[in-house]
Amino acid sequence: MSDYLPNEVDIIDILKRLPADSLIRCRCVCKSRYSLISTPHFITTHLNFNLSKPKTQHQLLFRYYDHNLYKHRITLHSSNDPFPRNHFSKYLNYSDPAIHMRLLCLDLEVEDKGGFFAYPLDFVELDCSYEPINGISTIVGSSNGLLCLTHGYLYVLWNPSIHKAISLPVPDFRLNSRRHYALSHGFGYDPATDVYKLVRVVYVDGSVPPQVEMHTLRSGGWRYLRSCQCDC
Amino acid sequence: AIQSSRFSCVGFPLAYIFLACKKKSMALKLKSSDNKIFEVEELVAVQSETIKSLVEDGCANNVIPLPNVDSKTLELVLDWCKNHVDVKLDEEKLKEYEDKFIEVDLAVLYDLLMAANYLNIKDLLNRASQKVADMLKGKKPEQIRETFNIVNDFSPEEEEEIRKENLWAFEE
Repeated sequence: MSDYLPNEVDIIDILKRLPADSLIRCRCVCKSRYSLISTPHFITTHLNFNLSKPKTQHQLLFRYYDHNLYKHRITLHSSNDPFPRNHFSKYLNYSDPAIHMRLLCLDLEVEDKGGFFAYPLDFVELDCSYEPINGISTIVGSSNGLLCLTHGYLYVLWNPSIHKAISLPVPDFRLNSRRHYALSHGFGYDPATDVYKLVRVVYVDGSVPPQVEMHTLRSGGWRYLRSCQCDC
Repeated sequence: AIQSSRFSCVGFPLAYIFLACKKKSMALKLKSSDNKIFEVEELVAVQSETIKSLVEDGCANNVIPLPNVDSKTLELVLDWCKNHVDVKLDEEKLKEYEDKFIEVDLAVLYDLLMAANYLNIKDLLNRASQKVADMLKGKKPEQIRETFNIVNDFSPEEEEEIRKENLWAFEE
């Protein structure tokens, strides 16, 4: 008997069960672990194992501007019951009938005791104080725990579990600030090709068709998509 | 006597079924690497896919040698199998049993992992792998090296680089 992990044991079968933060710690242990955990094969195995777990719980992501600390904070809440203590009163705002936006309103009493962050046990706060996400706050979307944030032309991919973020290349199509435009974007994962994609749609001066650009994480750049004339 | 006369009058086909049923509950003999013989019910032993295919191929009539598993480990493995035969067993009780079963030293855990791998017992392999993963969870790199006897083969410069890159991973 030995204290060393025997060769016959499938180390990948063990490591795929670990959460991302533990994997990063394991990666720092020795060279062979470092290279194993960094391989695309392992990353895909880990992802598929976690996606196949029946009890994977979805979570809600909240962005909130903290007026006391003058900064954005991003928190994760249980999707079943994001505010278990009912310290938010919820009502529908019909002032703009086109939007029907649901607003969350903080009880005054809770506001006095620390506002949104009054009950730290109810959520997980993500550390977003490092570059290049620092100050970038608009959430484009999330997929498999990976977040895409934006601010103007800047797009950032962020993996909060491993405390890492990277800036994506600046899109080709940029706007002169004097022109009116409408901007829309989306972020997602294509399991068939194992690729993360970011799509950016810009309508300039209300013109149709819009300029559509796509960035795939594999290719590293943006490319124009032939705009489709759609009625939606 | 009544039983046998009933069989004798219905003739060959039923008698054949009777024999087949009898064969199902047959005991198998397993031999560990240190030459100890374990007599177990076939239903218990065939949870090992390796043994199951031996039985199906008709190679289980004599003693089955298991040169990769010692008697201490085999005893544990067979205990696991016995407790997983009855699928109707209360789920809570089974979980309680599994939690207690897997609470062993790392060296024993490794032996169980290897045995489960060799004998191809999926649920045991899963549970043992999960246990090792749980032991890694939340530990700092230094603690992982210590627990799992892993030699740090990074040069001081490389280690500094990795540490800088993942500062949070080294903190509490």
